[in-house]
Amino acid sequence: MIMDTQKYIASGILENYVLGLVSEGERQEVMSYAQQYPEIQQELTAIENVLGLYTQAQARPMPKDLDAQILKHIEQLSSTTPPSKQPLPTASREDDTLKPTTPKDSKDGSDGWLKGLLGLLAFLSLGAAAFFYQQTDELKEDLTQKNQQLLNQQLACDNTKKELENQLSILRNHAFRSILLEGTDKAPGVFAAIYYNEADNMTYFDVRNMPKPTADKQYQLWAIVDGAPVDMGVFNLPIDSVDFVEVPYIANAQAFAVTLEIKGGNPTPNLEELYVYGDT
Amino acid sequence: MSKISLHEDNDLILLLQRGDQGAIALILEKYGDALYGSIYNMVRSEVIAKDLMQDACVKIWKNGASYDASKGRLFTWLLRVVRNTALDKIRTDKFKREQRSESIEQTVYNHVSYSEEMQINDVGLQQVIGRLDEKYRAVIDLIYLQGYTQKETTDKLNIPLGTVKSRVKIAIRELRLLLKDSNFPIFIATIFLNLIS
Repeated sequence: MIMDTQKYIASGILENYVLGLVSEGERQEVMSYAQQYPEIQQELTAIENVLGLYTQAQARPMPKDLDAQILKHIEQLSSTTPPSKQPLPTASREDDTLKPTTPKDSKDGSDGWLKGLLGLLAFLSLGAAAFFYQQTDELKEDLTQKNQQLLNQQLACDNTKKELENQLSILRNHAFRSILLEGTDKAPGVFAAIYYNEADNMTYFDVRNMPKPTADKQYQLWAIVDGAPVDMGVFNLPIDSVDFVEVPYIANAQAFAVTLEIKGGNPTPNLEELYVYGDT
Repeated sequence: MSKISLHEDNDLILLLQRGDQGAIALILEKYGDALYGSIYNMVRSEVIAKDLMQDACVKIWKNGASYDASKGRLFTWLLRVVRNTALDKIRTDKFKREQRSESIEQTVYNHVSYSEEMQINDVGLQQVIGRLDEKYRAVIDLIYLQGYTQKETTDKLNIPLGTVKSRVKIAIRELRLLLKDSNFPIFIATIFLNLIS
């Protein structure tokens, strides 16, 4: 059924609604129609506006200092009870949803200072709590960081210890032969070393003081077997540990050499770039 | 009322919805006298009116977030909160009806007694409203301005409820016509548009 809104508006029920002169049933009806029909809502707004104007015409100057008094009161309240986000029911005159909730607050100005003081204390306590909480938090974070650093250092030390123990075990092991690779004319004063274990088929390489090559080059290690070079792989410098580098075992090596090759290595050594060399 | 253009309601509404105390300062500056007048008309006591005005402002401040600009003008909402605060008060048993037991003649038609304190705009608006027939003004004044109940109104005016209702209807329609047709000076018209829009 389509409602005749103009007839409804003309009936005068909206004026009576705004002034609270309707029954509860009529009140519900008007509220429901106002939601359904924009023209009814518009009419209600227009009526309220006219009554607003009517009220405005009866304006009365506020007593002196009332505004200051109200603002001071709200200032005091704001330190204890901030405004709620609860929606205030839109109420017509007969609505009893807008009961004064805090009438005592304003009637009793005498304990306003106490509330203010309590509010201030509460505020300061909260502030202090927040401050110390944050400080504790920062300290905790700091401590966690320090612990992690210590742990990392401990791990690094453990690693170094293991490497040194390993080196020591190689050096002390009679099965390893120590072969010193000496710098050629190309690299005078440079040393490297090979630890060669024919009993257990193991070889370790110690880079000692070999200089860091340019980015496009890599050192390549060779074993010389029956006068011919055998590739033992390329390695990067600096080596990120103090440990000897385990390299492939080549049986019957008569000598070891390191040449500087293009990155990735070459199938045969470039003798022009022979850096260190040592006979077994 | 000349203060109305000082602050746009939009800014005021933003402050209000944020729970900013500054909103109350602006509301008091812009609408304080009108809101206070509406309370005073109901309770007829400066002491009580001051208390209620403070209660109402606290409610406005606390519930500012619930104001919905799409549902009507800010002033209408403020007025509703203020009027409900005052109505709650005068409906309590404690509130002595005698406190406002002056005759209708005194209460309804003595607005001019403080008109010299009011700004010229209000007087201009009053003159327009003054053209409304007295029997229509009486119902609006008693029910809307002074918060009389239906029964109190019928008793006071000694007319049946049906007559009260029809007079209310006519009173508001007359008012709308008067306000629309009146030859307000430009500044009144501006305020009127501002209020109605």
